[in-house]
Amino acid sequence: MQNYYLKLNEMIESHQVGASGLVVAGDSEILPTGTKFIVSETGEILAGNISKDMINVIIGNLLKSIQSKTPQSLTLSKTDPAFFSSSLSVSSSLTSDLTIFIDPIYPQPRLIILGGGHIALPLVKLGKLMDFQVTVVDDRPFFANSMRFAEADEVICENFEKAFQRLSIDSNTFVVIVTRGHRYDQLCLEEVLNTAVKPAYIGMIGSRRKVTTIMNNLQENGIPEEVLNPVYAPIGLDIGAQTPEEIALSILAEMVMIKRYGYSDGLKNQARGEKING
Amino acid sequence: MDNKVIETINQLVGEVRSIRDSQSEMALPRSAAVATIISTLGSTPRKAGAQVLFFRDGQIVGTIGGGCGEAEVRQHALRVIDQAKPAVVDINLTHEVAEDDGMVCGGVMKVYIEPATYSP
Repeated sequence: MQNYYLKLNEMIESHQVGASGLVVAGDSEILPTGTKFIVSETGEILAGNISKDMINVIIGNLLKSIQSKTPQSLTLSKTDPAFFSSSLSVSSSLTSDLTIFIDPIYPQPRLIILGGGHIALPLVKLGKLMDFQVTVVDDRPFFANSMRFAEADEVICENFEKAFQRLSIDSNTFVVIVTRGHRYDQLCLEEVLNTAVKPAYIGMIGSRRKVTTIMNNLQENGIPEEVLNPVYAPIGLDIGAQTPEEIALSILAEMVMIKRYGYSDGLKNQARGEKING
Repeated sequence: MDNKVIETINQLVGEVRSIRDSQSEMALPRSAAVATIISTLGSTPRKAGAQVLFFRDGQIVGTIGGGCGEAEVRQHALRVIDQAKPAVVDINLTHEVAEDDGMVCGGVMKVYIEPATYSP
């Protein structure tokens, strides 16, 4: 039990993906109620008192939960051949049905803010409030310092191209581009689009006109339209935001929508101030 | 899964261990129970995976939606602490009491509760 919670913490802190299992209705002999276990992204047992045979019976469900990032409550009937045909030794040793709660383990999402200006300040605060691990990048020491961004987990003072070598963007990373001008915004966007793994979200600030200009430039640089399409620009949900704080809120709101729904009805897809469905 | 709940349970496990190691007869580790939503039906404030840790002394870490649904689970959690044994409870948010309090979610949820340092 001790190992289980220690391992969970370790996985969360070191950004590992996997699933935890909790027997909520168990078999007194084989898998008593309260049994807990952890498997890796590939189904390897990392903690817990559970047999490889038993994991093999539920491996499909474990992997499905990990992939869809969705928990599930799984009831295994002792008599259900679909579950136990592959492992008769497991089913014949059971004395009752089992219910196992499977919960995917995925790391704390990361927020990378490119540009340490006015909007970055409330973005860091809201990002922390929403439980993101927050990194701020700017090339100006006056803006990129941990005094200005006391709540940020990491502040990188480096020119943007160099900073990308240190960022290790993964599928759990949300990238917000809010630099001081569109030359840098374009440079950052190009770098983000070139990373090996696609981030969960890329948003770039700017008016519709600026966005069109940058997208055209990037297309001329040989980046195909389908690569540019997933970029959320103009950024944020339309809440009529004006102040830096309101804009930060609209950006975080869009990120939550992406996290929960996998898409956003943001400013990118609608004209300012107009509703999509009347 | 709630990272803050996991972190707090780890602290609790540490407390239990250091009290045991010190062999002090005065100190007693704080008792708590962890409740996890394992399935929901209809409209509920939180979905499967949400967790809350109820300490006997009243401290609460995490939430499974607050309001009288969570309060009801807390009553069960206190019993789980006393009996040192896990339980699964069905919480119904459709009944009148909930509506009287202005909580009209209308769903039901299944919640698994066990002592926070439970090991079968």
